[in-house]
Amino acid sequence: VFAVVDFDGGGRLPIELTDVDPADVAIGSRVEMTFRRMFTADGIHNYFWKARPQR
Amino acid sequence: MSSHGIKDRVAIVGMGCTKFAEHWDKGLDDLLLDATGAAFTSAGVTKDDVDAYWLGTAQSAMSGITLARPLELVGKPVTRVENYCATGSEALRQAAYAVASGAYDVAMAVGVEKVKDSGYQGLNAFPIPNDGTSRTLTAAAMFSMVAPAYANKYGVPMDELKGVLARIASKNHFNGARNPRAQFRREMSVEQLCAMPPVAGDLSVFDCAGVADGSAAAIVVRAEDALRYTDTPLYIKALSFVAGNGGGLTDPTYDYTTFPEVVQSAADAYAQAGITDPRSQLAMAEVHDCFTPTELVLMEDLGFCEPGTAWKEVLAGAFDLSGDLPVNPDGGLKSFGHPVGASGLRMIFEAWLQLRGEAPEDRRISTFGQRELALTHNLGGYPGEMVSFVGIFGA
Repeated sequence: VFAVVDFDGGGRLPIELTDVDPADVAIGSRVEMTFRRMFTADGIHNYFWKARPQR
Repeated sequence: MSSHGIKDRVAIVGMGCTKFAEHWDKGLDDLLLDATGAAFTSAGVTKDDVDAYWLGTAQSAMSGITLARPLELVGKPVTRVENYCATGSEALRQAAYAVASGAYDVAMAVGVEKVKDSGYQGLNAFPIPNDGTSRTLTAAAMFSMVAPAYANKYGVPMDELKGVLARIASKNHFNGARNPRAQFRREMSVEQLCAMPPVAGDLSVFDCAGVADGSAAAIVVRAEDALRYTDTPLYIKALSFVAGNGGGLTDPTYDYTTFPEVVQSAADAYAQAGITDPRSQLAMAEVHDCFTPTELVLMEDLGFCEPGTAWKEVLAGAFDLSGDLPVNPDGGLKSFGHPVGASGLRMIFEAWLQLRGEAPEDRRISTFGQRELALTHNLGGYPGEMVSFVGIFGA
């Protein structure tokens, strides 16, 4: 699931969601950032930010 | 500083356009030869009469040699142009400005894309090295976000909005079914379209443009020379282009229900052409319906109706072939197909046919004989970061 995430205090990042049921996502859902593995190629991992529902 | 435009200084005197399709039996060279050959014939000139060439292709090849080789051009300048999905329009814009400057008497703009047999199903931009943190979304996913944003902002229930989007696709299929050059020639009902399974957000495959191979070409000369080539030239009234700065991706005030780059390029084009009320002055529009929500938003961004009202206008049939402002009478990207580098010129080809009375009767715009201006709109990129072209042409 992909979402446009706006931050409290300003700022925006279009980003992938993770650990989420697509049916539970709606405009206005609150999420938090989590640093995750994005891709692996030739044994090299690439990490970047994703967002998940706020716990 | 000002955008002056080149109204009535340059004319199109010949055009060609291949069928857009999965051309398994044709390579890039074949498509280029077909489109340019038709344009040469249309203008009554040979390749040697053309002083300079602009070739638009997004990803099928690089450099002007791509055109010089199959046409066996000798000693001619050929410029390869790329500007996302607005590549074909950009080629025409450069050729027209070159003629307007006095640098050349006759110039040709060619657009082409050959995606089948490339090893990929569909579009695949040249992989430019990056740090691995850029988004990996499909174009369908990016544009799918327009639908819930629009529904949310204007209070349209999503089920109802899906019917509106299906109505747009149904209209474009209706028009494409009457166009022998179109990729998809089958009419599709709103009911059939609404029953399709989603592939990205709420969009189904039938909300997406067709992926096709194809080529289109135009020959431009100074307006005062135009009648030496044809009795029915198409005069360039406006050419505008805006490259967004990508700010929409990080700006929380951007709401995905409008494309500011389109609004800006439309305003520039209308000023160049002296158009004050596009809805009543334009005979037709060819717009960049890469996905159905895109066409919905474009009706508002191009000034055809007020923000928040396009969905009602669509349902009322305002943009049908028989409506008061026909939009995409050739079937649009949806039904005609979208060979990226060729699409901008394909749109102008439809204006060329319609305004000069050469479109077949079953596909003729309702405004024929009453209005004489056509708009073409071609965009590239995504909501929040796009390039936008708007052209106005008149018989």
